[in-house]
Amino acid sequence: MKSMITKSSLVFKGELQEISDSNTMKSVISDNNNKKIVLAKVQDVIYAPGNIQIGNHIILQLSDRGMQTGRQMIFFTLPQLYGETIVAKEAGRIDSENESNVRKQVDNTIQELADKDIMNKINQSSIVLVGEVSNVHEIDKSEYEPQEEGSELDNVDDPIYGEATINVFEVLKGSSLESFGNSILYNTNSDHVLEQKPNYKPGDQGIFFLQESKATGVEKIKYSSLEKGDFQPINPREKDTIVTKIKSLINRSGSLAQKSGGNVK
Amino acid sequence: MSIKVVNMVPKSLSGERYHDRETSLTVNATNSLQIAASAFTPEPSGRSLAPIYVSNDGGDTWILNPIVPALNSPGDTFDISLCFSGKTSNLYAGILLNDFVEGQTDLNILRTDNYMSNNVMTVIAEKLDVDQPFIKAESLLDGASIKDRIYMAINDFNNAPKTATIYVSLDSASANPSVSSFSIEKRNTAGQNMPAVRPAIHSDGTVYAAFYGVRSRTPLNNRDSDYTGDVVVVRDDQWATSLNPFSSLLDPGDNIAGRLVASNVTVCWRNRAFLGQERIGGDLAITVHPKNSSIVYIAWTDKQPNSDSVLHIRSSKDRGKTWSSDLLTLPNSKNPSLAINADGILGLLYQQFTDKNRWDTHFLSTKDDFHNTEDSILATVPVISTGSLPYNGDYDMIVAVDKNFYGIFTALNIPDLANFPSGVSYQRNSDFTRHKLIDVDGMTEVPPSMDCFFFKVT
Repeated sequence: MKSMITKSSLVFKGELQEISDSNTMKSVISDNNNKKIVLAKVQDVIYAPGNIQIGNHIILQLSDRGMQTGRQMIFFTLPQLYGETIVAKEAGRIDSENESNVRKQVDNTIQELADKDIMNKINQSSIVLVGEVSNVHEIDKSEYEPQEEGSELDNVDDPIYGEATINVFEVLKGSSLESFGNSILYNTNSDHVLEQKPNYKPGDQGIFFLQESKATGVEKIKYSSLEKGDFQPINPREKDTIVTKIKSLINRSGSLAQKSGGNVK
Repeated sequence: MSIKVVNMVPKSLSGERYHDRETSLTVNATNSLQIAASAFTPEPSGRSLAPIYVSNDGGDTWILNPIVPALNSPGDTFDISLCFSGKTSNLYAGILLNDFVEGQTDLNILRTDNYMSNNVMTVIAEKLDVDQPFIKAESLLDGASIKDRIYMAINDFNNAPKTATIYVSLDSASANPSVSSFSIEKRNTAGQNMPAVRPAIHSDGTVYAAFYGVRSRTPLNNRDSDYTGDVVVVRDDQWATSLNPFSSLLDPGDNIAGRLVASNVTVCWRNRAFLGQERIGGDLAITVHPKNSSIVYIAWTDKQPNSDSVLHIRSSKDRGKTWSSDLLTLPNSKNPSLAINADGILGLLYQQFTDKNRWDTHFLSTKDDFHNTEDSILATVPVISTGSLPYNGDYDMIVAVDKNFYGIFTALNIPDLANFPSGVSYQRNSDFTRHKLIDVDGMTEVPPSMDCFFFKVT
């Protein structure tokens, strides 16, 4: 089942129905064997990063010959097209009676994958800390632009660096506060929605995954937070749970904070 | 004249609240039911791909088809410029990828022979450190076969200080097409050209391109500079096949390739929320008459005493040798796009920030160089704060196929007919009585965001 889960980005319990000829997506699907195409009404969502809800209809491109309408199954799928309905390719299916077991395994697998991403981030980071952004300011470009030919070019996609001051609650991995200082470099030009890279504002609370800064001209700021996932915002109510989780992953990675405790400012 | 405006977000994504902007659109000239479009829209299920919007019914309905590559995450892909080739079903794209490793933008030139299929588009060329690709394509008969040719205008920092560049492939449908790069700036610059470089192709082999020739720069602060220079048009008369392409049009002043359409033009570079939450940095558009390659129109924006972004239109009837004075000027305007239909009607799409704190999107048409015009407001929407740039995008798009115009633009998506004076239809769930967007469950309200809108003028 793990293989089916990792090949899927939409897992749901659905009941098969007839596809209406008026469904505009039917004509779009370039599959000559119509018996492979069925309509599933979503009865329960097991995993969907998007906005799939109970009652949605999904056209399934089955991996084998068709199934009878009225059947209920758990489908592991990969969405292909988003139109009047979603068209998804089937990666696998199992009997719907196993729903609770499937849900548990899907949750476990997703958690494993998320943990793996966080573990990678921990391993790439010199410092991991919990804190809150107390102040931000944009750094003058003349401070960090390397003085070489072409460096003065204006490109809307180039970073415009900012300095974020962090009120550190706890250092989870890496150096003590003395070597860290309390400011980090980030890109004020980042589109934090589309690119999912940090672009801070005062009051942002979360886990900061910091790398040693390679930006020239702003060496006074030793650590940077420029890439996707370098900041994981946390709801204060969930802080303890998430911090405990990150600590356990850091423990597993074998890279504990050199100095833990007593770091709350 | 009949106008149809369609909100392009599909019904199955009724809950989406992305900032869909910087739109591009292309229509298959051999089958105008086939249309492809793009915006800064992430892949809905989070895969490392970006979608294009596709329609096979002339733009009445739209589907998101995630077939554009990304490097690490959906948001890595941006600046997606699209063009069908004309006589084949090949769709070409120029895209930028945010390359984390290199810390640069990575251009991919892509191709697919079936824009509706699920197969990820094929990369036919790559280049690092470039900005704002803008692609045009044509097909021509070569003996018994048809060859595709692509002309991608781009701001190529590898060519600094003469960054205005055209990439040309004379057989882009082949298995391993070669792509040549030509800097089209022949004069000295103050370090670079502006990001907007625009091509226009005629089926007789005439290729025009427009760019800003930057002669001086005054940096003001981190995000602001004033650039002063020329609006330049270059031309090639033989598909850019000669050893020295884009040198057919000399300026009478200095006898250098590249006719100066306007000189001593100042462009405001404001890389921040400046004009109705939008950044500005000089916009350009150029189009050629489909039945007469001597007739060409250009649009650009510059700084004038009354506005930091004034749109100008000029024309040439002699292959770019001489140019009119301004046929039209419009203050506080951005994103001009031009097209001429088979009847010789010029269509202009542009967006104007008004004193009512709204962005108005206009489709303006004229048969007589703006002596008489027909102006239709496609959208008039309030400005909101999105926190990200660009706001509407650095460009939008209009194209003409036969007598019809097809276009795309970004606007705030509040379902209110007062905001869409030419009418509008939504695919996503919406309540025009209460002016609310509704999620796929048919009940939950969705907050307003920026969507892309298709329009067709027949």
